[in-house]
Amino acid sequence: MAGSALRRLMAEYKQLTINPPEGIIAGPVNEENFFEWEALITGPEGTCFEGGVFPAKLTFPSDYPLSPPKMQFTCDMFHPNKPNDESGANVDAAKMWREDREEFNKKANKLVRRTLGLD
Amino acid sequence: MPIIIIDRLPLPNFKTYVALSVGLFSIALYHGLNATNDPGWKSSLLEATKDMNNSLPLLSNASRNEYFSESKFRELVLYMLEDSLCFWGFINGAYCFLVVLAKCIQLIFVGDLRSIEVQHLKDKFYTFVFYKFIFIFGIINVQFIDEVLFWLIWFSIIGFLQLVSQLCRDRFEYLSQSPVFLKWNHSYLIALLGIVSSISCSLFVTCLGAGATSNGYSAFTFMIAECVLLILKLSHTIIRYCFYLYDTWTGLATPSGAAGASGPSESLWKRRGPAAYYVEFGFDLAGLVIESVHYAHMLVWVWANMFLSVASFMICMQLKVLYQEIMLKLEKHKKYRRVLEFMEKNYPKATAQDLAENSDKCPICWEVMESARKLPCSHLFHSVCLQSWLEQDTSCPTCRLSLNIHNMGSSTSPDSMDPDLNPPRGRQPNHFFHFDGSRYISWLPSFSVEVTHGQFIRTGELIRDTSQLDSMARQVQQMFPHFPVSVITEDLHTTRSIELTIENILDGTLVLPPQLVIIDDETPGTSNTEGSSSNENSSTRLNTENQEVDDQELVEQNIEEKFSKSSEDREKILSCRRDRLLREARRKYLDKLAASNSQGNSASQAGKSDLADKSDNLSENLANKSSPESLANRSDSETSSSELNRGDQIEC
Ligand SMILES: [Zn+2]
Ligand SMILES: [Zn+2]
Repeated sequence: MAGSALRRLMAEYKQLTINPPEGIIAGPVNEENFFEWEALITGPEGTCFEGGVFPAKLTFPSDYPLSPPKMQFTCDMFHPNKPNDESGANVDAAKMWREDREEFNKKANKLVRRTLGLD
Repeated sequence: MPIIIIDRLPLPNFKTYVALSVGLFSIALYHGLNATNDPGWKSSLLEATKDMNNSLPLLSNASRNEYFSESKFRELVLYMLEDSLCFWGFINGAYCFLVVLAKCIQLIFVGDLRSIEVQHLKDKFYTFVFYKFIFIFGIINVQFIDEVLFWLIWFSIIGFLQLVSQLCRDRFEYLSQSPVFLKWNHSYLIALLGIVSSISCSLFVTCLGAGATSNGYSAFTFMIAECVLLILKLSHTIIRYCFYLYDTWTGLATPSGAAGASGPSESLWKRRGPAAYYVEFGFDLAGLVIESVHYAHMLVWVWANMFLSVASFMICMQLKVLYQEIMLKLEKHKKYRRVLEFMEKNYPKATAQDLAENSDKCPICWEVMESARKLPCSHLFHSVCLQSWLEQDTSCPTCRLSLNIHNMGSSTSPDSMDPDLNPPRGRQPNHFFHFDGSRYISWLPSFSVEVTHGQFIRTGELIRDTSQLDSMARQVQQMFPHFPVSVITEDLHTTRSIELTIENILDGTLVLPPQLVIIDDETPGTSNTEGSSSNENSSTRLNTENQEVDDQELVEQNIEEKFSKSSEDREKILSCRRDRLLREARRKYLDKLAASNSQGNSASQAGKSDLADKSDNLSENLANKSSPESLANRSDSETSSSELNRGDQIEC
């Protein structure tokens, strides 16, 4: 099964290289392990994360594509939906997003700067 | 086998241990020699001792042994077995030798261990030690030190072999996941597998021979069972290895050719599909059965000797676990058979016309289809691919049409339909599983399981009613004001969770199934159209229409060039692309910052439409600024022929 997953991943990698989607670069950084990819995802425009480049790790199961890959951001992520530590969603971020939008945006902006290596 | 995890035992580091052991062994030997030298002890070892005393620390194990004539050596060994200090020094020395041997094997054959391999080895080691301890003292109930010694030696050898075979398997799995065929790593691993297998086989033969001639029938049966388990495991790895090598030889597993692969590969793989399945199934089942018999034998042994203890309880637990595993395997197999049957009955083979009409690639594995099965929705898939999909999902992989597959087995037993045993895996947001228990047995409950897409986030909140949906949509819209509520609501209908919808928006793929965002572009065309349409939603665009057309052409011209055949080049190009993305994002951000600063502080509080206008201007500026450079980059890449050079140019 791993063989077919490997072939599919290779095909997808080729697809992504030849025809990259806007603002996303993904691929196996070290091809010795083809089931672990790293992706760079640019923050969507019009959001407080605009302009940032967020690195993420993608782990593919050996029966891919029957099972979906796992994705995890490798940068500090301050977002209601991005878990910090292992506690599911980021409660602090959600609270701040609801209660203190300005502070949240400030923090998001800081994060964007950090992902760009500007801080 | 349940794994006993002992997280941190204070194991001394390798060098200290070896040094200590050698020291201890020397002391023991010295003590032994002195004692045997004593006139009270039978013989005279004068000359030997003299030499020994001088050269003791320098000598290695082997040469030291050569020092003794047969009889002297035996005397020494006899004494050392009597004396407890010597005895433990001796045992420890033997283990030290084993550790050194393990280290050598590691250095020669496999190199650095990966953390998962270390973890497996540790787990295996502690489990092994635990159960063998129980075996020696709880089941065999040894009375004499030489018996203990015998089992100790036996289990050291078998345990050592087991660990090495585990390592071989892990390493094989790792190597087979690499797109490049690492010739040397493979040859070393195959050599190691060969050595371990031959040792195991000779051990098996020895046990068989010893068992046949001796009276200790039962003890040898235990040993033979252990050998068989070991050999089974090794041959499983070897057969999988053969499959892998066969694939590689026939060009199947070299995925560089996969995207454009055609011809014989498909039928080959299809032929192999069931064979591979039955090999896995057979080995797994055989291993479990033999292990159960092994433990059952222990139980019988304990009872026959009227010796009841905690050990028998442990064995019962173990047997129960094994039984459950066997049942699970059989259940899975039943399901496999059922799906296969169902598929063959209900989904006809696609005709040549079907194949010609549809795109010629299987949507699951992305490989060419020469034969395929057709679903009611007229989507085509390889039989093998469809089979493995249907084992875990009951809808069409492409269009999500529910296939009613859980109704298929009206003839099968109800418990096999139990959703606990085969839970539908949530890979798509709108997957619905309904279980109507009363159809099978009256007292079984009926319920529906709705599986929200839960890959990136653990749980999604389920929606109770539409008003909740509305409020959720508003919440999301607060966060992403530029998305219309209708779009958000629509997405919420499928995701049923704020988190997931936000995730979708952040990934910029509100319309795609989220987990396939990055990887699941059905055809080369779609990703581009997708990208541009989402760009039109947001008001900033870097490229003008014309440039995009140019890009398209350039991209198409570069298609084959851009994806290198060599993995090294690919890695290089990828890292270049990543750098470039980061650089461009940084520049864009700084430009924007400068622009907003020049417009004064009030701009930062400006409304959304203002911002949009601003960024429009900005992006035009940027487009003007950036286009010559990027075009220059592209023309560079066109003219240069060598891929390695091009990679460098991209970087610079
Ligand atoms: Zn297929
Ligand atoms: Zn379909």
